[in-house]
Amino acid sequence: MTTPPPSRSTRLGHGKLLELPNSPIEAVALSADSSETGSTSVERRENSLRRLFSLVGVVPLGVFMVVYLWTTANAMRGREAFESARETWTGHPFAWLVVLCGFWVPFAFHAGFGIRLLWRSRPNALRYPSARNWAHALQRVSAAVVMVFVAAHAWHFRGRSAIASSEADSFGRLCGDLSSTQLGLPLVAAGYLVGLAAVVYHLSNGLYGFCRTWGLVVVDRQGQRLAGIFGALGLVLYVIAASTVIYFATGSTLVLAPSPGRVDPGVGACTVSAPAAVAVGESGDPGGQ
Amino acid sequence: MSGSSAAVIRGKGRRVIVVGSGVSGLSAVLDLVRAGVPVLQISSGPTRQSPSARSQEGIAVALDRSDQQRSDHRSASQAQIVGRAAQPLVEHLVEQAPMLVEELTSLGVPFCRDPSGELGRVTLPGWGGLPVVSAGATTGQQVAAALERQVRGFDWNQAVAPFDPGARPQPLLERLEYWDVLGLIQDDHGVAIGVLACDQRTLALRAFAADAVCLATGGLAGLFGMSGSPGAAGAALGAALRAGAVVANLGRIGWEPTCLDGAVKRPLGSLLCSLGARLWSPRGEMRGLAPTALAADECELWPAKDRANPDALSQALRRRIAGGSPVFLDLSHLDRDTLSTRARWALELVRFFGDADPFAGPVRVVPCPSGSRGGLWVDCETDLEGRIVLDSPRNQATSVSGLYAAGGIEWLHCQVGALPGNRLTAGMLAGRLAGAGIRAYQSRIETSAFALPQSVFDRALEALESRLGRDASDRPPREGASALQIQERLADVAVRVARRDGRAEQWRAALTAVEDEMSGCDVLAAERRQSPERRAALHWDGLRTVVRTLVESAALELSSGADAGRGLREVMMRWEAGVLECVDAFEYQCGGHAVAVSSDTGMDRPDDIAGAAPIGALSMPDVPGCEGEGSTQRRGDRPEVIAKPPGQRTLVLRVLRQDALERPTTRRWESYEVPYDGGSTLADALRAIQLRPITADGRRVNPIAFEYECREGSCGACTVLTNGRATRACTAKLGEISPRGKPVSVAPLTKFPVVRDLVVDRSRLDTDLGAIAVAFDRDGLLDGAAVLQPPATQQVVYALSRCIGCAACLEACPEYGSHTDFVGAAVLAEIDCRELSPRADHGRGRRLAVATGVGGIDECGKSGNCALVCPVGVPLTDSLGRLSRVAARRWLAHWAQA
Repeated sequence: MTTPPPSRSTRLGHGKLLELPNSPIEAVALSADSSETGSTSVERRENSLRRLFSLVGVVPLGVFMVVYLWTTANAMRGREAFESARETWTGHPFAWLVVLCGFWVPFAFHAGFGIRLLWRSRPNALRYPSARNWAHALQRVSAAVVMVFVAAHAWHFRGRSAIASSEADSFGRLCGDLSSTQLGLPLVAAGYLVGLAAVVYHLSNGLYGFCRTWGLVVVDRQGQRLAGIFGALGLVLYVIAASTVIYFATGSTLVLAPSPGRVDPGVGACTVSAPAAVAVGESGDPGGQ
Repeated sequence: MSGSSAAVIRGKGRRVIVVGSGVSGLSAVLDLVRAGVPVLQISSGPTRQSPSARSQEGIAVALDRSDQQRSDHRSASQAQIVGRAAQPLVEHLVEQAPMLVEELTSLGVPFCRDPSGELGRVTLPGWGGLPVVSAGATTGQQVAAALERQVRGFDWNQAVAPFDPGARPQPLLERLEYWDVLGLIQDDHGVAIGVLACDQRTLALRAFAADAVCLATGGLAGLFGMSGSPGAAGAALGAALRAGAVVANLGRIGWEPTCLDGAVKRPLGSLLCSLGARLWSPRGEMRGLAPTALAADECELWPAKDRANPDALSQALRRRIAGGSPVFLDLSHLDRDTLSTRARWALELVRFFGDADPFAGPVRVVPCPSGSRGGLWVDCETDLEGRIVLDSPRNQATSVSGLYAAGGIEWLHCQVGALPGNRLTAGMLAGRLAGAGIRAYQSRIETSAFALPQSVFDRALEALESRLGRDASDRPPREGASALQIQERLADVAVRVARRDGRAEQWRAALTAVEDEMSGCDVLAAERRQSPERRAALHWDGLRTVVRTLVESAALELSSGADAGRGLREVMMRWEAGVLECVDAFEYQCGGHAVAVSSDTGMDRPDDIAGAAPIGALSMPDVPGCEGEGSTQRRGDRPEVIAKPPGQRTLVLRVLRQDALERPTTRRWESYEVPYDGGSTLADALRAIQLRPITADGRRVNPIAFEYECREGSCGACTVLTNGRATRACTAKLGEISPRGKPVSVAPLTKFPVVRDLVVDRSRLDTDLGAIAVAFDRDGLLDGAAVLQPPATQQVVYALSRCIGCAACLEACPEYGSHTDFVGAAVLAEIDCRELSPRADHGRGRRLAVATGVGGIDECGKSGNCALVCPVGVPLTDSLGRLSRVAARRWLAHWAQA
C-alpha cells in the first residue's frame, strides 16, 4: 500500500504559503523556473501603495508646493503682482477641482500612509550621526511639522474664508498675520519660517529618496551628488519662501528687488491692513515701522 | 517508529547525523541529501564561524588537467607531510580538484577572473608553480557560503525524503545550530546509533537516533587558542574517543609558522609566504637595533623551498627564537598592489593587531601550534592500483561501526589539508567520501537504529544526565577554580604538550592536578544551571579525554624519536574500558565485514607508553622575551595575568546583563574593572571577566555569556553594542573606544531577542537568508558550460560576498526591528549578490519576491547606516540601489501588463 504524499507548505517571506512537490529534484526544478512565484495580491497592493506614496510626494505634491511658493513669492513685487499671479491659478472655474485633486487628495494619502511609516521607523541619528542618517531622521521630523503646518495654514486661509464666505484679501491677511507679534515676539512669522523649512526640506530630501526608490540613482557616489543638487535646490526654494515671509512680516525684501516704479508698495499694503492684524488678536507693529 | 525490513534494506528514509557545519560537514550533507538520504545536521555554530570559512589561502589546482600540472600538484603535495596512508587521497584530490573548482564556480563562488572572464590563476612561488585560484583575500568564506547556500536551499524547501511505506514522512534535512554533541549512543555491539547533544541556548540534553553518524567538527585549533573556546573543539572528538574510536598521530602537532606575537597569537596564514614574503632573522645579536637597520649579510633568510612544510619550518624558526634571535616577516620588497588584492586579510591583521605597517618594515612573527596533524583514524579503501574505491563503506569510516569522520577531526585530512592550497578541496572531498561511505554503509546494515526501542536512547540520555549530575548531587559548594578556568587549564596542558615544554611526566602530573580540581567543582549546582560555566563543564569529559590522549600520544612520538626526525610512524591509540592503549593492529566491523588494520610502521615500537623517554632534541624552553610577554602563560587572558600590576591602566566596563531568554526583568548593569593596554580588545577584556567574574565592587557573579569565535574579526559572532554602537568586540580596542579612560558600556544587540547576557538569537537573519537560498541540481552543475564572468562583476560579487553575518547593518538600521517585516540590508545584499552571480536565473522568482515584496527593498529608509557600520565594507547601499531599480521595473512592468 502506498501512503499518499502529504500536502506540505512552506514559508515564503513572512507567513505566505507555497505548495511544494515531494522530491528534492522537483523542488530544484520548481525553484529553477518559478519566475513569478510569490507576489500575492496583498503584496502587490502593499507595493503599489508604497510606490504611489513615493510618487505623489513628487508629483503632484512637490510640484504643487513649488508653484505655490513661487506664486506667493510674487508678493514681494507688490500686491498687484501677487493678486495677478494668484489669479492665474485661482481664476479658473475648476480651480477648486485642481486644488482638490492636485493637492488635498494626494496630501491626505501621503500623510496617511506617511503616518504609518512614521510609526514604524526608529530613527537613531544620535547614535549613528552621519549626514544621511540625520537626513533620514529629519525627514520624519519634518513630516510631522509639515502636517501641522499645512493644516494650520489651510485652516487659517481656506477654512476661515470658507466660513466667512468673503472674497479673502489674502495679501492683507498674510501681512496682518505674519507681522503680528505675540508677547512681543513674531511667533507666527517664526512658525512660518520653521514650517516652510520643514516643507522645503521634506521636499528636497524626498526628491533624493524618490530617485533612490525608483532606481534613478544606483551607485552611492551618484546619490551623494544628487543629494547635494537637491539640497541646493531646496536652499534656493527656502530663501525665496523665507524672504516672502520676512517681506510679509517686515516689508523688506531680501531676494527679489522691487521692480522700478513700484517703490515699496508692500509696506503701505501692510500698513493699510493693520486692522486685520488687530483682528487676529494681538496688536503689533506691522511692517516693522 | 519501527519500519518494515524492506525499508531498512533500501536504506532510504532513515536519518543519518552529520555533526559540524564547516566545508567538510556541508559537503557530506549535500552528498547525502542529493542522494535522498535524510540528514540531521548538528553544529555548535553557524557556518560563518567554522575555521574553514576563515581559510584565506585559495585553492591550488591543476586546472588544465595536463599531465605536467597534475604531476606538479602531486609532487607538491607528496613532497611534504603526507604519510603513506593518505597518498591515495592525494591522488584522488589531484584528479578531483578541477571538477570541484568548476562546481564551486557554478555555485557562485566569485573566483578572480582574468580580462576574458575565465578563471584567473596565479602561480605562487611557494607552491611549486601550481596555479592557484582564489576569490580574493578570503576564499574559504566564499566556498563555505556557497555550500551553505545549497544546504539552506534544501532546508528551507523542506523537501521530504523518499519515505518507506508505513513510516512517517520526514524532512530531507533538519539543521540544529548552536547544539553541542556530547556523546555517542552505541548499541550492544558498539555500533553507533545516534548522538547525545545539548542545546547551547537552553542547555537541555537530547538523544538523537541515526543510522550513522559523521563527525566533521574540525581540528583542535580551539584547544591551542587559535579560535573559539577550547571546550567545543574537543567535545565531539572526546565523545568518539570514549566510544572506542582509534585515534592516529594525535600527538603530532601542526604548526603555524607565522603568527603575530601577543597575548592572543593570530596566524597570518601561509599566503604571505607563498606570495614571496621573506622570512629572516639576524645572525648575530640585534644589539638593540631596529630590524631595518641590519645589513643584508647580517640576516639569515629561509629559502622558499624550505618553507613547503610548515611544521619543519616552524621548528627551525623556534630553534632560532630559542637561541635568542627574533624572526621577521618582510614584505617590503613585494608589489603592494598584488599583496593588497590577494592577501588583504593578512595585511589587515598585521596593521590592526600588530600595530605595524606591513610594507614599512619587517614584522616580528612567532610560530605557534595550531592543531594536530592527526586525529580520528579513518579508513580509505583502495583498489590494486592504489585508487580509492568510491562507493566503499570503508571510506572515512572510523573503527567504530557506524561512525564516520571527515575534515579536520580525522587524520587523513589533517595531513592532506595541511598542504597549502589544498585545505578547502580536501575538506570537500573528505565530506563527499564520507557521504558516499555512509550511503554504502546504510544500504548494508541489517538493523536500523530506528528499529530499536526508544528505551535504548532514553537509557543513554539518563546515563549521561546522571554522569553530569553526579558532581552536583551532594557535594557542598566549594570556592575553587571555575569551570571556565579549568577548561583553560586543560587547554594550557595541551599547549605545553604541543610546545614539548617539559617532560611527559610533568604533563601527566599537570593533567592529573586539573582533573582533581574538576572533581571538586560545584558548577552544576542549581543556581548556575544556565551559565556559561555549565556549558564549559559539559565539555569537560570530552576535553579531558582529548588532552589525556594528546599527552600520551605526544609522549609516544617523543620516545619513538619521531620528533627528532627519525622517520614517521603511525601512532594509534584507543580507549578501552577507561584505559588508553596503544594499538598496532586492530579489527573493525564495516558493512558486515571485519576489516583488519595494522599501523604498518616498519619501525620498532617503543616498549611502553608509561616509560616515555625524555624530551628529544626539539624540546626547547620558551625563552622569556622572545615570544612576547605571554609566552609562558599562553593566553594573556589568564586570571593570573589579569591581576592588576601596579601602574597599569584600568577601565570600567558596564555590561548589560540578562539571565535568560524571556526574562527581561533580570536586566541589570554590572560594572567590571579591567586592566588594558594599547592592544587589548573588548573581546579580550570580556574573556578576562568571564574567567574572573568579579564586579568592580567586589561581588562574585556568574560569568558573562558572550559569543566569540575567530578573534580576528572575520566571523561576526561577537558583535555587541559598545557605547550604543554595533561593534565587533574582537576588533574593538579599548584604548580607541575610550581614549580618556571613561567607562565603556557594553550591551547586547537590540534588534534580536537576548538569549543571555550578551548573546542574542540572530536566527531571524538566518531564516531570511534561507528563504532566498536555492539548492541546485548537482548534475546540472557540471554540464560543461564554462561560466564566464567579467572581472568587474567578480569584484562587485566578491565585495558583496564578504558579509560575515554580524548583523551590524540590521542593528543600525532605523527601519529594521521586530515590529516590521523588513529583511534588512544583509539579506538584500545577498539577493543582489546572487543576481550578479552565474546561474542567476535559478530561484530568481523567489529571490525577487522577497526583494520586492512586503519587507523588501521598499521598506528601506535610505538612512545609509548599513554601509557605514558594515565592518567589512560591503557596498550595501549600491546593492539597495540596484534592487530598487529592479523593484521599480518590476512594478512598472506589472502595471503595464495589467
